[in-house]
Formats: sequence, C-alpha cells, structure tokens
Amino acid sequence: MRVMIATVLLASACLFLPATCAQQTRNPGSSEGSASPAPNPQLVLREGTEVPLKFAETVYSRTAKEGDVVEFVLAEDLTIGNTVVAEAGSRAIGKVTYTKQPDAWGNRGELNVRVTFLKAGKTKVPLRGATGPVDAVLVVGTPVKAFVDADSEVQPLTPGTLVEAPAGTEIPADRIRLANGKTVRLMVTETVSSKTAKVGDPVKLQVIDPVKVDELVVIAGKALASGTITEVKPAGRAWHKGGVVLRLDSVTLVNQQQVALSAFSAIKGGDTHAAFDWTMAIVQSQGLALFFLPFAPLQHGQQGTIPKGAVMEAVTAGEILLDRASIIASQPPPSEIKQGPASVTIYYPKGGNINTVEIGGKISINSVAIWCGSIRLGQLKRGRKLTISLPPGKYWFRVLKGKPSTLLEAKEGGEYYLRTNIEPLPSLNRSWKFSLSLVERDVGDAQAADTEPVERKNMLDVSTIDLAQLQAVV
Amino acid sequence: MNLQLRIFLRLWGTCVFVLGICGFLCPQSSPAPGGAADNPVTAFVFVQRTKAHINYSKSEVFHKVVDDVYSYLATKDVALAKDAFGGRTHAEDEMPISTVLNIARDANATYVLYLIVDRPITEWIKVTVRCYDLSGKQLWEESATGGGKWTGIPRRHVILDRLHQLLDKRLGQPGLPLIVAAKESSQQAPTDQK
Repeated sequence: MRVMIATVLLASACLFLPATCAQQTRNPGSSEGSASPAPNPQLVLREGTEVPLKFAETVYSRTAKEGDVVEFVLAEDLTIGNTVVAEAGSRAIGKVTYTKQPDAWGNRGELNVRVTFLKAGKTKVPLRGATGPVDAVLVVGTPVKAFVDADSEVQPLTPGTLVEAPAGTEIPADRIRLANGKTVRLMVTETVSSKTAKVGDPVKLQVIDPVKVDELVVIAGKALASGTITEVKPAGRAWHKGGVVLRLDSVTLVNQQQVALSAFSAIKGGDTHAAFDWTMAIVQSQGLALFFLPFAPLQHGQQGTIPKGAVMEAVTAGEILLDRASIIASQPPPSEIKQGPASVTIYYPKGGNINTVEIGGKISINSVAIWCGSIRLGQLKRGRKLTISLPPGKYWFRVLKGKPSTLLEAKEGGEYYLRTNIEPLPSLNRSWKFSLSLVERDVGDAQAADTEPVERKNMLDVSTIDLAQLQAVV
Repeated sequence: MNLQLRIFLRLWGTCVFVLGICGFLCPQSSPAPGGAADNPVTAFVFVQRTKAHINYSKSEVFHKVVDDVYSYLATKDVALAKDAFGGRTHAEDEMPISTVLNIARDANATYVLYLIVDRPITEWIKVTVRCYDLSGKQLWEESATGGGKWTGIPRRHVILDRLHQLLDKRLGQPGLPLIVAAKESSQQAPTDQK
C-alpha cells in the first residue's frame, strides 16, 4: 500500500514539476539573481498626458491623399514617474485628414494631419492632436504636440524595473480630474476681419459641445470662452492676402472657474482667382484687356476674415483637479425633449462677394430659389432667412433646380439650419458652385441671427402643400 | 483494501506518470523567447517615389510598380515582414532611410529592400533596389533602367522584367529570404542551441 501511495506522489510530482520549469523559462529576467522579481505594478498612461512628437517623413499637399498614413517619432522619452514606457524615437502614426492641392493659378496647397496612435512597447496608445490647416508642406522634424486620448495600460520597457508611482496619480474621491489636452470645440460669436481688427483685441467665443468627465458636465454647451488677436496683416495691393492670428485664451467651467486653453487659429484671406480672372478677361475681350494688364498689381488681395460661427478646436492646457461637489451643484438642467414638427431655417449669409470674370466687377447673385422635394419654397435673397415647420421625415433640399440635393432627416421637435453657399469655380466656363449645407444648431443659430426673415410674398405656405411632394426624391 | 481500489490507484498512477513525462518533454521542445524561432529571417520591402518622378511622371505609374514588385515577391515565395502597426509599404513623399529602418525594426524584419522609383532625364523610369541590414549597412544594389525617352514609348514592362531577372539571381540570398528557408531556420534554431 505504501509503495502504491509513493508511486502516486512521485507521478504527481512529475506532472506538476514541468509546468513550474516551463513557467521559469518563459519568465525573462528570472535567470538573473536567485529571487524572482515581483511582478510589475500596472502602469497607466493617463488621458491628457502630453506626447511630444515630430514628423518622421515629409508630407506634401501635392502628393498626399486623405487617409494616407503619416509617420511620426517620439521626440523624447515618455515616462510615468521614473519609468520609461516609450523611448525617444518610438513610432507614432497619423492620418492625412484634409488636403487641398496647389492649382494651376498659383494658389498654394494645404494639408492637415491628425495623430492617431503611439507604439509604447507592445501597446498601441490612442492619441489626439493635429496640425492646423497649414502650408503646403510638413517637413521631417516638424514638432507636433499630441495627447493620450484615453487611459492606456502600458508596460515598462525594462522588465523588472522598480516602478515609482508619480506623485498625485491617485485622484481623491471628492475631486474630478480635467485632463490636460481635453478637446473643446468653440465657435466665434463675432466676425473678425484683418481690415478692422487690431493686435490685442479680445474675441468672444462660445462652447459648442459640452465636455464631460465621469458623466458630469464640466464645460457646458454655450459656455463663454475668450481669445486675443495676436497678429493682423491687412490685405495689400498686388493680391497680397490679409491675415489674422487668433490665440484662444480661456474657457469658463460650469463652476465659473477659468481654464487656460492652448490653440492658435491663423486665417488667411481667400484666393482672389486674379490670374484666372485676367486670363478669362483677355480671352473674352479678344486681347483688349492686355492694355489694362500693367494695372493688375493695383488690385487688392482679400482680407482675412474669421466669420461669425466659425468653428475651431482648442485643448485645455494643464491638468486640473476640480471640486466634485461644486461641479455637481452647477450641473446644467437636462435639455428638454421637444415635441411637434421640426423647425428648418434656410439662410443666405450677408458676407462674401462673388468675383466675376469681368475685371474689378462683381456680380451679386442676390437671390436663389430654394427647393424642397418637387416644390419651390421661395426666393431667398442675400441676408435673408426662411423658416418652415415640417413633420418628421426625410427631405431633399436644394438651391436652384437640377443642383445637387442635401438630405435632411428631420426628427420630432428638431431644430435645423441649412446655409446657402455659392462659390465661384476657377473653370474656363463662367460657373459657380451652389450648395446647401447642414450646419450645427449653434452655428446656424448665430449666423442666421444676422439675417432678416424672408418677405411673405417670396415664400409658399408649407402647411398647404402635400407632404409627398415635399418628401419627393428629385 | 479491496482489489478494485488497488487496480484504480495503480492505473491512475501510471497515467499520471506518463503524462508527467510528456509534460517534461513538451516545454523543452518549445522555443525560447526572443530566439530565432520568434524572428524568422524576413525582408521588409519599402518603395519610395523620387521628387523627379513626382514632377515628371504619374502616381499611377508608381503604384503599378509597387503592385508589380509585391506580386513578384509573393509569387517567388519571398519571406516578407509586414508592418502591423502602420501598414506602410510605400511613400510618395520623402521618407528618410532612418524612418524606413525604424519601421522595419518594428516589423521584426531582418533586411530592408528599399526600392526607389525614379524618372531620370534620359529615361522614362528607373527602379533601383537597395538591400540594407537593420543597422543601415547597404548589402547590395541593383538597378533596372531602360530607354524609350527618344522613341516616346513608355517601357515600364521592360524595366520591370529586367528587375525581375536581376532579383531572380538573388533569391534565397540576404535581402530576399525564401519562406521555406525562413521556416527551416526557425526549426533548426532550437537544435542549434542544444
């Protein structure tokens, strides 16, 4: 009997010993030193941690396409406390989100790149951050400031490293952490032009989307934010474009505390299409316009304008611990769910001139016809708005017959704004691009506030029209 | 103790013993981490477009070369390393070789095959292949050029055929490891360690 039990024990030992051995071989670093090191504590790269990156390749607006992957490298070691979690030179990637190719008329290209991920050891850390709409080229070494987009568990690069937790990583229960680099979407509430603006002028902005932390609103929608004009370059002769640089300073939290913002928005005047205009003028006047060509440089460039309702993104600068009680006490009331028909406002903003091919002349497309389905709603003049009530459903709106339609999915009690856009196209035929764009409610509300309601004689009474005709797909 | 219990215990003991022996053997046959088995010999292929090609040729021509090179390497069973993080295979903009090497290291490649698609003044297209190791040392270089400038006939296919012929000679050598050889090397590695 004893022999049998001994056999069983020996056999069991044989079964479990290899597993232990295997574990030892799989654990790197265990061969050094007799005592096996304690497992590394979990390292968390907190949301908002600043990640200094630089471009690892040159990107040209001429060749880049939206969606192209762009390489970045980490500019310096990324650490948590005293532990390096990603070494300088680690890979990061981004994507081209916007490109505008340089055209034959000498207008420069533009491109925008958004940072997406960092490789910290074997972990893919989500990042946020982007280059602004900048010049035509982003060269190797151009710095980009990015932030960790969400808390990410990472491993120290050297296994067995003694990790010293950074001070203040634990958030007390009575506090809320507003992470560094939290994105805040803002809207300019007054038009800024390089013609009238002066350096140091304050600019008012308002928050579009509320910012939440732990399901609590920290920055409310429509909260005030402020900025300052830091550079003004008026438009000059010889088609020199004007420009304005706006620095975004601070935003007000729900508890009325001010938080610093970090972002710049540089706006340049639009393209004059002067080269195109002159070419067309020479062609159409059978060369007569050549006599006026020496005076061409007397033409002014366009002013740089930040229109009312312009949307820009900023990020909070620095990490802040907020008093939870005061944030809870200042929570905005929940938005009411409206019932009944949806309200649709179609507006034609006042600003903007449309160049014609005639030298120095302007045509103003003073009014446009607005169509909904197969019904012509009315004639909308520049600086006017047309507001209609529609039952929930799908509607196709367009400017002029035969132009591309814009789909609006109206919901119960919804409030929608459609902006009329008319842009000249630099093509050999005299042509313009007409479109209606669905804009965000706050933006539409601000921009439509500057327009007058359309006269009754110029619009139809929608309540008398068959719904099927309004919802017709044309 | 009754006979049934004795038989059961003896049988159980035998089974556990056999399993134990198997358990001893299995972990020994599994490769050591970071060994050659984890890193079979592979090449990271990266195709770069030059400024001259951007200025004087079309993007489609470049992409046709990229597709051709990848399909050629696939048909020849070349062991290729993939960039799982960024999925990079080519660049139309300027990417320094240091960045390409960084991507290759990240993809656990052994070699870098750096193809340059150019448009010299006297040629329609020129494809240069450079092989580097991960330290950045150039191991070899081949280039395929072709005329056609004066005849006005684009000779992309001719150049690519020439390139295939040049690469055929180097198959199985550093820079163009074959999948079979890569598998063999990964299987031989543990026995070498013994």
